[in-house]
Amino acid sequence: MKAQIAWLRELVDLEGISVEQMISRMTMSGTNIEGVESVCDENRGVIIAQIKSVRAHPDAKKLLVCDIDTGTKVVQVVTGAPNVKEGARVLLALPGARLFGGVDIQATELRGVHSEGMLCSFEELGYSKSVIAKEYSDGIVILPEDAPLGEEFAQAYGLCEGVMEAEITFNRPDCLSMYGLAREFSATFEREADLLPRKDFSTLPPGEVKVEIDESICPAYIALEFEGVEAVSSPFSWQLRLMEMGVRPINLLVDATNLTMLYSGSPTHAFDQDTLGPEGIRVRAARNGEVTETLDGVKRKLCDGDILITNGERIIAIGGIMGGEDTQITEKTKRVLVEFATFDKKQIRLTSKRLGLRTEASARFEKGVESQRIQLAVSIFLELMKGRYSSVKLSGILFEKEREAVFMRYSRVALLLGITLKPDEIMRLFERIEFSYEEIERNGERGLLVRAPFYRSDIEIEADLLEEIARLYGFDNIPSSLPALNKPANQYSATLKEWKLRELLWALGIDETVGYSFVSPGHIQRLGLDDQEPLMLRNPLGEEFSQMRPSLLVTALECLVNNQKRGAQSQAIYEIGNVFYRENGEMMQEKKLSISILDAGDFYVLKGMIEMILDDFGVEARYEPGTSSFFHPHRSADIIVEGNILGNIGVLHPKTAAVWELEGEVVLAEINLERLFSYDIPETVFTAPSRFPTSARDIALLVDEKVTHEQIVDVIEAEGVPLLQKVELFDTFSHPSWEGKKSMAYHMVFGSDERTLNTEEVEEIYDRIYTRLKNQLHAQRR
Amino acid sequence: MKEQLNAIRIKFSQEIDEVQELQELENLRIEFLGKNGALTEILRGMGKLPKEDRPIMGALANEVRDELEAKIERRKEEIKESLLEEKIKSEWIDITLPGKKASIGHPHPSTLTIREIIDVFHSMGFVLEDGPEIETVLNNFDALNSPPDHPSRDMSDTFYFDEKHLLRTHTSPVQVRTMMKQKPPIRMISIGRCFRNDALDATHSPMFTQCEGLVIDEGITMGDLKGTLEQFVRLLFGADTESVFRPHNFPFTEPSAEVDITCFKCKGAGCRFCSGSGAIEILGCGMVHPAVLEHCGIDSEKYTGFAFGMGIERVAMLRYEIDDIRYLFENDQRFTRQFRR
Repeated sequence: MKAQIAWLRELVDLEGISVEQMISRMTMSGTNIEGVESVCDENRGVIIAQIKSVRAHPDAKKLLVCDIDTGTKVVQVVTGAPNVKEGARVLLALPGARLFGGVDIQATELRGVHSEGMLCSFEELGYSKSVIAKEYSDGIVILPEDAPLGEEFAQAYGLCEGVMEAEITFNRPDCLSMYGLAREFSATFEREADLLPRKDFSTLPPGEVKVEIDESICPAYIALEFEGVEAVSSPFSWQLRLMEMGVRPINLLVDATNLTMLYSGSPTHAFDQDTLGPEGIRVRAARNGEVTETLDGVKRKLCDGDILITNGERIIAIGGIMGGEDTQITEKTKRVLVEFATFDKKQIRLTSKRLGLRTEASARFEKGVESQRIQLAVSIFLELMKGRYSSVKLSGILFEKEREAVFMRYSRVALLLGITLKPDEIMRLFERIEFSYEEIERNGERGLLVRAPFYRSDIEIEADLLEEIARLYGFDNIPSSLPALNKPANQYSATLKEWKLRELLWALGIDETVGYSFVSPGHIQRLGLDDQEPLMLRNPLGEEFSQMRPSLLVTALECLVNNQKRGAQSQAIYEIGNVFYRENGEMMQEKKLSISILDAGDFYVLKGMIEMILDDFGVEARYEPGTSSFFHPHRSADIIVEGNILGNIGVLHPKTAAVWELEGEVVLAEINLERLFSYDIPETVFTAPSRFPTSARDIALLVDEKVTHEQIVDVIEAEGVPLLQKVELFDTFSHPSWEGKKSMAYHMVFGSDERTLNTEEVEEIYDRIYTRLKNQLHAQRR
Repeated sequence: MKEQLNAIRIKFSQEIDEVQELQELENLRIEFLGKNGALTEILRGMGKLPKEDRPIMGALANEVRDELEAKIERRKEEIKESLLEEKIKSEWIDITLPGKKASIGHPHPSTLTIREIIDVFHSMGFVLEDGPEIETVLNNFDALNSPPDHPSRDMSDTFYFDEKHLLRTHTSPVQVRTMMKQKPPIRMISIGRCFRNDALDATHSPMFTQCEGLVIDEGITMGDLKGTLEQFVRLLFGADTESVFRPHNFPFTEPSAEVDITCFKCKGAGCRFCSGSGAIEILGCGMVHPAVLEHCGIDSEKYTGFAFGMGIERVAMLRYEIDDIRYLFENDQRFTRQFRR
């Protein structure tokens, strides 16, 4: 909400209070002032002057030469403005002045004629084109005849302090008006506000127009009928104020409705009464398919429930949002009907959102407008129009709704806010915001029965009143304390495990990535994932963010591709994040880890990383041939722990790699972290190392190339118990001439906790192991 | 005989000075002290001496032998020493050649920030809680007292799956879940991904990370809220960080506040990170709305509490001077590899 400071000063006695004080104290009392802008930020030295004479430029058709009275002397100025005329008061930037955009004014020659300064337009002062009235849009500013000659323009019109931008929170729609803001200033600085009282307008003659409303969508509607009005330009001071407030001046009637809305917070609309017809005003809900043209010239399609203002036959406005094209005020307008109303706020919001039509009016109506506020708006409008019409009549319906009183216990002040206030201190605070109260006792507790003024629709429960006390007392005055720690925190083991895991991943040289939880369905297809029940967002930001990822590998591949395109040589990346899927119709999510390497090693390098991680978590896994379609069928594995799949690992299928345009060796793994973290890491219980020496033997075997390491180790271990302590593969080798054979070399360590083994004993086990390898796996010693 | 011994002595002294290698030294030892060495020869001739001379000459000969042996030992040490010195000299290496290293992984800056925040809150007795990213409208809005017409519920703000399910817009539903399953005292934080229907630009992302906290107990006041968060920002941003609590409005807290802290880049002097104001808006907070407590089955007469929340990316971006949020989700190796654990 914009608030012109000069206007605020008219409404509240802020004598002696600087703009800086306003910003800091208003912000601390709950109205965050986001900034202050002033035409004077960019301008200086623009004075009010009067044109004495105008003559043609001797050497240029489009230029004029003026003699201009600055109040102290007469200077000659050359201008191209078409609207200069003798006797007009204008804005003159003398040499030494500065205009918007850092333009410095100097005396100069224009086509051989000396020019002592420049006549200014509003745009040159820094006003946005969108707020400049049509009459000033292509020419210089012509001021009223009483503009003080020789004075600085911005000072003479009180523009220098500028306009505040106040952030109005959701609970304070009353501050979307100068009326509300002035009351906040008054409460904050404890200064008197001088606001227009709500008039009793029962004395006004009744209108001729019949107003018919549907109370469920339009609980109150007042129509003022003016005769003998003219849609001329409004007074310069109104125009200037509207421009400062960010509203374009149109004509006297429209400007009066806008000023009324800015002051009261109640939007009003002016119709040319002669275009309405004899039936009067009827407010009704729209039916699907109805169409109307709004005053911005756009045809709007309507839906069931939209609130319509009709004249009994046709639509004349979309209630609370925008007036119609053919009933708007024109130069020909003589009789005017001004609407003051309140509409169902929910419907206004729905309609304005659907039509994409958010206006100053709809923004206020969707927060709700009280009957009293309508009454206030009528008073303001009548005041503005005073002396500008020949007659006025009033018709319509108003409902006054008393705000319910709220009980606040004194004891809750200390309990919730941690401050001790005496009852009379609390009362003083409520007086500042014009809340009325009555001290009572209820259920054995003393406190205040508080009634908020009509405009404070946010005051509904005790906590709302406590909030008022806190902000007026000042958050910064509440002493800080630390709550007693009644229960020590114990870190969740899953959290600890996640950090242990991250440390390990970094130590393994793997970089962390963070991918979006939603991805393009195309990416999921390109990975070859068959997602039977895709989890789609109903309103995604775009196709590329529309499906919840069923696997972290989708984003991992994207990351590998992008980095390869950027010139990365080798990559090792991980991500910890959720994957999403449906199970029996339920939407599920699961935390997973992905590790992906590109040109940073082969299957065994990544498998080694996985093994290190599982070892560190005390988990033993088996690897079975992989089942995922996007992996190389002979270079992938499912990781099995206690009979369940913990994850999988594999070389990216060459076909998938080609689809993703990935070059190089890509190995991927995905681990279910919820499952991994569910296994307890075994507690360490110390066992004393054996005091007896061990014996080591190596064995190199020639086996068929399809015989697996796991098969060999299973045999060695089966035969080696109980004296075999360790078996380790230390070499593998094959030669083209061996034709389907390979060599596997193992290091075996034998020992006992009770004695030293003798050579014969060790030889005997060794032979037994070899015999069994020979029999079972047709292995031969090399 | 005496002369012979002297001659041996002199000859030995001359020869040993010339010896440079261990093998030569051994040869010298054999020449003089070996089985057929010069000195051995003399000792063998002792029997021919008159009886009375033998002890004297014997003593003299032994003296010479000891002397020769000592000299050989000494020379041996000298040669060894000089050999080692030469070897060491020959072992010069270029210590400026790069070391042989295994690479170390790089963390995401948001993760670094999360870890710091968890550490600080853990030191203050907060437990970390977790919750799902796909939430119910009930937990994300209704239970948090969000009015039915609140703009945050709009499709233009929130991602929906259907009428009842959405991507959480804040981590507050984890507070709801915690209150539903646990009786006070409660002292928790939750950190996680949140989603809002914002187009991606330099300062907005449809996905971001939030940290929220909740304290509920008997007698928790707004003073406790201030004290706790003041402590938090001092521990996270430095002991001289000041906090200013400004009134604000959130549906789930009352009173509500926003917290500005001293800009930790310029210490309040004003810089480009704080737009010259010297202060940075960092937290939203407030006393838990009684309707929220009651919804979660907590007696709002007996218990009071406070809640707070902040954006992780915002803190990370300020701390590491990252001027575009998109960097945080692009996973460019050249970006990630700038961060250290």
